[in-house]
Amino acid sequence: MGTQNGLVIEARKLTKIFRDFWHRPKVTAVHGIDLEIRQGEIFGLLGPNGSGKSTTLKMILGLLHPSSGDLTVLGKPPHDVAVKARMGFMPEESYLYKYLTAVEILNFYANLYGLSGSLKKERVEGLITQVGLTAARNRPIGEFSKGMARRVGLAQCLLNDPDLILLDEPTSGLDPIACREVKDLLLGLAKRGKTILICSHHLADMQDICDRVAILLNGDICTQGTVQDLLINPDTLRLSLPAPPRETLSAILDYIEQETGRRPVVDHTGRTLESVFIETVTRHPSTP
Amino acid sequence: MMLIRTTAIAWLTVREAVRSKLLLSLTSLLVAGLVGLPLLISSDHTLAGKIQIILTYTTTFATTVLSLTTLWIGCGGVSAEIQDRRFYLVITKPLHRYELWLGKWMGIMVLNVALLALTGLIISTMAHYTIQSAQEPLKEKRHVSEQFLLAHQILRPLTPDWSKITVEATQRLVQSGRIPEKMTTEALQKKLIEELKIQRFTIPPKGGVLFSFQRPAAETLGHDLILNYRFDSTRPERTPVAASWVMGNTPAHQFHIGVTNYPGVPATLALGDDVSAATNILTVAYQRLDDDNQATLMLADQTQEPELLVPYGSFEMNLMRGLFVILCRLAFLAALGLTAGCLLSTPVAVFVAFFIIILMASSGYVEFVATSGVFYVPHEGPAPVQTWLDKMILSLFHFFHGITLPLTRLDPVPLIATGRVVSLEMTLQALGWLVGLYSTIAAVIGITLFNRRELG
Amino acid sequence: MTIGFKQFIALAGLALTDLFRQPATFLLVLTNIACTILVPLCISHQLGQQTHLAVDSALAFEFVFGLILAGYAACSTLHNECRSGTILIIFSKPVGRLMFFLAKFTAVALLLAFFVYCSSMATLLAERLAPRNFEFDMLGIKLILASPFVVFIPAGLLNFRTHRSFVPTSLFFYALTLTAMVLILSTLDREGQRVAFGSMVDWRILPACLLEGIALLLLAAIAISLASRLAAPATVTLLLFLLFAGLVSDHLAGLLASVPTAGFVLKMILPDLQSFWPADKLSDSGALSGAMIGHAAVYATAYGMGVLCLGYTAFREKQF
Repeated sequence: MGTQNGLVIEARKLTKIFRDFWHRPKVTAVHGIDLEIRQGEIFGLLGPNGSGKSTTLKMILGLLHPSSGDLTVLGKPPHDVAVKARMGFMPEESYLYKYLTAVEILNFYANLYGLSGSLKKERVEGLITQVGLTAARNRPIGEFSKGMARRVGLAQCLLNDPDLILLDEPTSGLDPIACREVKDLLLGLAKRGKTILICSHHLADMQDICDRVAILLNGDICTQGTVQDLLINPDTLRLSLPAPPRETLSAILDYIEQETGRRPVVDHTGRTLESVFIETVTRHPSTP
Repeated sequence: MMLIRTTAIAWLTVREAVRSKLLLSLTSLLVAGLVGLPLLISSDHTLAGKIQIILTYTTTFATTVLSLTTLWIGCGGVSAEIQDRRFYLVITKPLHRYELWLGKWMGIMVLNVALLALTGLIISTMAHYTIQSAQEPLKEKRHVSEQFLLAHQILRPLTPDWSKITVEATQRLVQSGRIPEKMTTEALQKKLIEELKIQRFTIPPKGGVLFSFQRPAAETLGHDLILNYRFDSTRPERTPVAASWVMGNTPAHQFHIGVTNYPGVPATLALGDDVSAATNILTVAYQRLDDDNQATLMLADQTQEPELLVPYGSFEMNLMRGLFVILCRLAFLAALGLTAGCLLSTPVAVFVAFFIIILMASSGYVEFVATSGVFYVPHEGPAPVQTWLDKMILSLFHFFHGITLPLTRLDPVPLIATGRVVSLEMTLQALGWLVGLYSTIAAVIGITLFNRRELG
Repeated sequence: MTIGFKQFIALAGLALTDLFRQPATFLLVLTNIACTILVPLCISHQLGQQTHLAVDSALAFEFVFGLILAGYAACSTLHNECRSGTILIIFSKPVGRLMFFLAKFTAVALLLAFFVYCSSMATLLAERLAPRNFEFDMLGIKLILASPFVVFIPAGLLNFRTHRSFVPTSLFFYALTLTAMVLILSTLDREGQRVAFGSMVDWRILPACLLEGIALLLLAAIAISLASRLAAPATVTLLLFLLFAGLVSDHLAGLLASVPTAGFVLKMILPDLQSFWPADKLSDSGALSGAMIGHAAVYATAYGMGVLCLGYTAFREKQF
């Protein structure tokens, strides 16, 4: 899969300029970026609104043509139909056919992937169960809530067991439990060797699951690297220890201050709001 | 694989039409129009008039409604989905854009086939029911049924060999010494032809005219032959004229029919199918019985000669062939709409497509300008002078005429409405021109534009 | 200025601006102008009836194109806003549904007023351009052929330099250009000689166009009422059906003569569009009286208000 050097997506000086009617440059959405996404990693594309994330994603999907630069996806040009057979895409909004039910829409997309017979049935049923829509499988999409529609969106992008998965705000509109499930799902897929590219504003989610991230600003990549490297501040340490008596603590702090010249900050460790939420909901008697 | 994907898109299009109630609305509109229009429109209160109204207005209504709807669905089929971004999840699947285009086209055609089938059923049922339930005598019902509920082949009278006749007439004149001086033989023959043609179509008091028709070999299966004719009179008042048609080649097979006709009014005569049992040539003679010296009858002119309608096949098969030709037109319109939708937004695509429809509908005027060369000629001198603008506009008209000619010629509605055959040749031409050529050109343009279009 | 009035102006103004920017508006208005003006150039075989035919055709084009524009504009401004969800943001503000509904109708009405104005100017030009004794008005034709350049080039330049939208600019320029052409041609005869102002143009056309404009406003009221529930295809189809039924309402009433109640109800429901058709009045030396226009205006107002009430009732109950 991918190219010989293990790169699934490779972009060199990728540029996209939107022009007006007179062909004058109007907006340079992406400005000569270099991007490499390797097989089996979860890559996050971050950036404020208007930074060029969606434009980059659309070029990778073949929806937009690059103004200049090179772009290969799975070793081929992005508009190559063969590439799409190995790719899955989940857009930010659920652009689904409102008059179809969940099963019908998955069957339709499965047909587009060329799945048929028992394999199609198995995949569709499996994904319906996996995203938790068994009870609503025969309801039209138009009656779904936003979160339910997002689950259908996620299911359809996994129909063909893709090698490359592109997700635009995958956790948007999902409750924390569903969020956690999606993140676990993505981690599981990555362990199986799938490559995942995520665009998201939910930095906590990205921090949780991404191996590497790139931060886009005004069409340029201003920072790129592994999450670990980006987040570590090598000049400071954090220690976790059982709470000692007051006098002992004071002595430890005095010693460190003496050695380093700065008095450390001390506070209690805590949990995240997400973990509190999940714990509360799952332990509640009314939860099945 | 391509078939699966294309079929999936086609099936999606059909399902959308069903679930969005479009198919229901369209069906209701068609049924209401097909049944309601003949009830609303006044006829001449004859059974033949009622049947003609049913056949004319229903087929026209169905063609118009389905044409407009096909265009609308075609235009919206691509452009609306691009606008709503529902295409994102489809276009990112492993299918070529031509498969998408083709699937949409197939879906629209499936809907059209279903609606045309319904149209045919309603028209056929209404026509038969109207005749059966009419209060007219059985004989007239049979006559109307023979005239409209059968497909007839049109036969024109055999054209006399003018050259031979002219030569013979010239020889007679030469022999009798009645040729004017200084008149050449060619000029004489030219004048003779004109005179002979006029004589053929004018009938003086107590005069007559003879027509011969070459019947096809096929049997008429006991159905009547129908003679359509019309004449005009030099007398300004429309007083009726008594005459007699003499049918048949030999005395043994001849019979006379007395008629009283009004000038300018088309008339129909039903003949038994045994009038020309002996040979394939049927001779009919029209003999005036009055001696009104004020009126010279003109049995129309060369372009409106009497015509003999020979039964060819059943009404239902003919209607099916006619609806098939309409289906070919709808195929072209669907391709046109999808092509426009590939490039433009829905309302603009609809507008452009309708503009082309109107151009097609104006094909009569286009043909007139192209053939006559008269569009706009400024009178600024002793003789009309064509400017560069005239030449440019006329070239444009010639171009449009070339494009719209097959669409004008391949119109089955007047044929169905008058009981004339929609030939197999016409259906094959429709298939070749409208589907094979025009739709393919539209498809190629549409798919090319669609391939190049960005969907950001 | 009260808050309510400001809100009304804001809503109607935004809707009108949006309608003017629509490519479909541009195409419909310009096609109507083109058809109106080009018809007299195409028909030259009517032996003395050319002007009559030119005006009749122009009025017919105005009616049909105006109807389609009314239907499209109503759906574009109301139905599409409901469908896209932008209406939710408006109703999260202190804006009543009645004001919103009336503002949308006002925007459509103003658009149609602009359309009728352009159509009136085009009809005046069409009547002037109609050939007399097979002679064409070369001066008029030259002005007409030059008009696209006079309009589109400056509009294009404005778009290039200032990024001002091409579509509304072109429409505005075309309205000005048509007005200028009418004024110029009303002071010159066919040979280009100066004559008394207005003597070369048939001004009776203006009240005729006004009468049709009133009919179009009536249809706009129906369109906006339908657009509260139906999309553009259904709305335009129903409007066309109403046009057809309105034009044959006498015939329908005759068919139902044996059932007086049904005939009466039909006559009440269907708009009497025949009283808005001015072409017959203009034949020969006829003219439209102020009384006729006033009568039609009163009828249109009463009918339109009734229809708007029904439309508002449907809109008021709509859930988003």
